[in-house]
Amino acid sequence: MQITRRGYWLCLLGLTMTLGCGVQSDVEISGSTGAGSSESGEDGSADQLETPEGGNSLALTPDNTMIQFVGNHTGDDPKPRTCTFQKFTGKLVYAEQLEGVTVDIDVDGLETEFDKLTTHLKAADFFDVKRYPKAAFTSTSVEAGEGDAVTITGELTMLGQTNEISFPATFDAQTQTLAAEFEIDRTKWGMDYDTDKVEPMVEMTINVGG
Amino acid sequence: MPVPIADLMLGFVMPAVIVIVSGLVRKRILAGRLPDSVHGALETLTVVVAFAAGYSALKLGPVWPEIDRDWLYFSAVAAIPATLIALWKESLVRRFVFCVLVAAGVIALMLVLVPDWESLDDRRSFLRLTWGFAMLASALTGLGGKTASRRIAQAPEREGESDAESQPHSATLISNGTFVWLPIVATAAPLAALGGSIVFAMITVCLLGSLTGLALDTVINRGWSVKASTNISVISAFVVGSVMFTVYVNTFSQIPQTLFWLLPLVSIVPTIILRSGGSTPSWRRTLVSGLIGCLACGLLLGWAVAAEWEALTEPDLY
Repeated sequence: MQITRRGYWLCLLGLTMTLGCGVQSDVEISGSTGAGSSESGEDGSADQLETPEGGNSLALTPDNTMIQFVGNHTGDDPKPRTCTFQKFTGKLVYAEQLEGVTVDIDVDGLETEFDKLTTHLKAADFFDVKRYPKAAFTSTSVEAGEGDAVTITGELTMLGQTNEISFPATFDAQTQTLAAEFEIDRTKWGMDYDTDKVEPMVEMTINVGG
Repeated sequence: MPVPIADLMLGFVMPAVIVIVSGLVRKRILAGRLPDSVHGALETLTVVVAFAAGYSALKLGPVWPEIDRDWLYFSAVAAIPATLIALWKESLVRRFVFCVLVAAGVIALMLVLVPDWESLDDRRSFLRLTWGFAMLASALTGLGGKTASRRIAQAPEREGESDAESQPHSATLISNGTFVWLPIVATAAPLAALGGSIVFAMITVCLLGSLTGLALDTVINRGWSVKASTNISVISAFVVGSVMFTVYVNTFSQIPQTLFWLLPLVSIVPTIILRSGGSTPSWRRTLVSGLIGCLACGLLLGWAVAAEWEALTEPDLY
């Protein structure tokens, strides 16, 4: 009886080691980020933004556009952490004034100055990139203000949730430059990890052509 | 990102206290009023309740699952049927039913935990097979749990005190699985954190608190009755296996993903050492099995730390 029991456990161990090799092979296949099912809306929303008659469009790429956010810790020492998105496509359309803007972001392209922080931001605690690999913004209206000032209203989709945001910006059609600074509450998109330690409000900065 | 003290209190200390207090109540107040089997069942439920209390207090997920990882909470619940069956009188039928219930729990977990991402379409079955096997194999180490209770019942007939299972403390710690599983669960928490998620690490900390409370309860109550203890191997295998799988599919770290798969399987090695040989385990055998288990866990954790060393040694981390 003891021999049978020992044999059972040893067979189990042998089978385990065999399957372990299979799991390692699986790692080689899945080396890159999976393009998980995205609930963040359709890809290529830039194609849906039409250039107004007599107007112009500007393709937004990491070469001419910076999309950045800064997160702060709570308490007396905020230790601001800056993150930029390095993979995205977008489109900005304008005539005499800004008419619309849309951006599709590959969230896997986010980068910070700390590898460990980058890994944590991509994980399920924050952006959950494997589940929601895409984020997107599509403007629904642009209100002109004094001079170059505009107010952009649109839908921001992250982590499969879409919320309307509205923020001030400046746009110069002559130089094709856009600048915006505003805050969003990350918890409204379901990113509610440890609000006691990390501020829920995130500072966004967008610069086009600057 | 360091874990706040308050989170550790809620996730580790509170579950431990729940288990200890429950044990004191059962053994001091209800000692002669309930049969051993009921005490064992209550011990099982207390571990699960303590785990759930920590999980809820830390708000680690919704009460009702919405996505795959929300089912991590139920991985401990899924272990209850198999664990309670193990309290019946030992027989082949009991063992068969135990295996069936463990397999059913594994199948259920593999059906709900594997995400429905398109990127996993070509390997979803493979993941279910390999990870289901790991969970099943590690959970079945609980089959040896009742052996100690049989041996301790014969203790008055044996000479000397050279057997680890002739002592109520060690017998209970071996019988209820804490001896094997505490190092594994303690390794799972930092491994999950290194894998990139503090939330998954804290889920494991909740179980660690419960098991630590169980071990302390055994020491406080001088082993009490081995026959009244349950075996937490199934609970531990299900929770650790589920968390490690979730970290595995979500990680962006440099840690070889096989490490996550190997951790629950570490339980097999000390179990083989403890149960082989045909005699009650001596102190030496018990010590060797514990050391080998801890060594295996240490190797896996060290491997993970080495893989993430460059990121960990960045200045002004977080």
